[in-house]
Amino acid sequence: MAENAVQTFGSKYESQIKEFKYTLHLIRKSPLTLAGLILLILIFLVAIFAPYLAIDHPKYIGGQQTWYSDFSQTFQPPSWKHPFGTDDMGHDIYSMVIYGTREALYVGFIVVIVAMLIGVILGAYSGYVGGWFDEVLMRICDMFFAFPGLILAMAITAALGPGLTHVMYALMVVWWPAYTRIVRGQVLSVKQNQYIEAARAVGVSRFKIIWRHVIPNSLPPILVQATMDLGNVILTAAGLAFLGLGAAAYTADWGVMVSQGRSWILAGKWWWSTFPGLAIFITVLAFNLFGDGLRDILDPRLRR
Amino acid sequence: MKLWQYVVRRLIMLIPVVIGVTLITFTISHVIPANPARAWAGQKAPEEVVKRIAEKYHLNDPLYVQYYYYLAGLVKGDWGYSHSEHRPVIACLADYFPATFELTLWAMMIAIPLGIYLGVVSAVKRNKVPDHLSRVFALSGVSMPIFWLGLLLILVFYTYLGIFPASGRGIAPSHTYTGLYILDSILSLDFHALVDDVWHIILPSITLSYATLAVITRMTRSSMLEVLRLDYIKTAKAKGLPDRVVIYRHALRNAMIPTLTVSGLAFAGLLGGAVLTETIFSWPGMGRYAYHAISTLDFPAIMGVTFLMAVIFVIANLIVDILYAYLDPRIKLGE
Repeated sequence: MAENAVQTFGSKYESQIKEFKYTLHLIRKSPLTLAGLILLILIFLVAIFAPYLAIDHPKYIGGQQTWYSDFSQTFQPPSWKHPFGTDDMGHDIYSMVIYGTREALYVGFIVVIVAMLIGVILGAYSGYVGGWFDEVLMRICDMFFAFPGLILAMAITAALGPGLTHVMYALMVVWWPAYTRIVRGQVLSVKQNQYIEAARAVGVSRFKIIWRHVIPNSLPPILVQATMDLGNVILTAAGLAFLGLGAAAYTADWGVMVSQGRSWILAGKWWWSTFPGLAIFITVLAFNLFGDGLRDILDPRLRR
Repeated sequence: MKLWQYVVRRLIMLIPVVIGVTLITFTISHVIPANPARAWAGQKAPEEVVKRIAEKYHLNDPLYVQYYYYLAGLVKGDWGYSHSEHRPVIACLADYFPATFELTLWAMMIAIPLGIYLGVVSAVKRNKVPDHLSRVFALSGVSMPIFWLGLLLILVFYTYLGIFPASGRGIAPSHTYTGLYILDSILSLDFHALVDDVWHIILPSITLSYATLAVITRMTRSSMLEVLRLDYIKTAKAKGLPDRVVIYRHALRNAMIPTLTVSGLAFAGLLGGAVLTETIFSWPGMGRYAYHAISTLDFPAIMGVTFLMAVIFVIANLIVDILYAYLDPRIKLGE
């Protein structure tokens, strides 16, 4: 019985499995994409196993993250005891960088997923239905595109008040128009296909056509964009944190750590800013390497 | 349609875009804050100041009335009062604009030629060592936190090597013509200032240019690869023209067009990056002003910088569009 089910599954999705295997094969053959994928896997492992990898662990007092301060250990340069050194309160920077991975990924994923959902819903509807709704929505998107992203996010966060949640709201506001535009463009081209016409001819509802046929067929470029944007969102969030709009001081936030350590660079105490900055760089690079490779691999023109 | 007609048309099309920008800045400044009058007056302002601000900017009226007064204020140059500087926002922006302009100009002058060169090399040597190196270099550029790069450069070239200064614009030239220090020091033949100013702009402009350089390199590479495949390139090669001529005269000309578009869009990154770069290098421009405004909760200042940066970005893209029409005869103007 079970064997039978496996067989049916196998035959039903045979072509998809074949495509997936071929995609894996292409990833293996492209060294930069593979490097990105391996880095990403490592970063996710660090985030998952942070409690086992870190030396010190945060405590939450009234919802506020706090770290153990050891005033006999302030400004220790990197050593075996403190691999990335300590800050002016004797906090272990290595542990904070490790826990910071969780926060960076959390911010990246939440912002990109929400922006993508808004974009998919609005863009698919707008592209499929067209008319005045489409016209108005596109003009609204244009309004957002007139701003440099970081500047717009900065103004919104300043209006809401500093804090990580507000940074995330601001980034969602900045990012949704890009997805709306991409999804809409995809829908406009998918809409031309005959199978959509066929579905409409046999009386399938508009909602069902969009949901079952239009959206799944416009996904690949959206996923590539999302992969690259995960890195961009993390980078922009770090920039806002650096400007003092993000999480509170002395929390495991990479941007905040670079910002707090920066005035000590001139005094030669380089480690406080350097290691969290390196963590941002490697994480964003990993998403970009993987996304860049994925774009070539998923591009049907270059695929075969 | 003639080029000047196209320019006029694009200028007219600018009006709705700028109105859109004001709608967004209005929403951010008048609708989002829990208490707009408090935000405009400053968190530490006494109650009567808050009341006066609310009255002056009609903050208790319906939103469409507020929007009218907001627009009128923008047009008349009343962009609010910067309480961190104790003077109107527009006066601060006028003071800080040249420094930001000079910095972004230099960053562009580094990013565009170098980016095009690296992109061409990458495309011509496709899948060879120079290509891999330039791709990694470019991907690093779009992935690197600009403020971290600035700090590393300060650490190496100021703290350890002591070659370049880490903050400020250098000595002000003896006469001010444009507000751009380097140009002014040349114009006023003040070579003492010139050397110092060039010395000061090197690290910040490298920091700011890297991300843009990376974007331009990637775009040039991919559009060169498209063009190099075309028949007319093969013809040119078959005629026995030297590679240099084929690459730079024949291929690059056409490959430049997408690169130009991307340069316009990359300008957004340059403006955002200027805020971070100026903060790191204490560069007295609009970006550092915004940073100070954030730390002192000077909300009108933040909104002033936001609006001006959006306008600059819109104008930059207008210039790119016009250049585009000028460079590419295939574009049928007005379609």
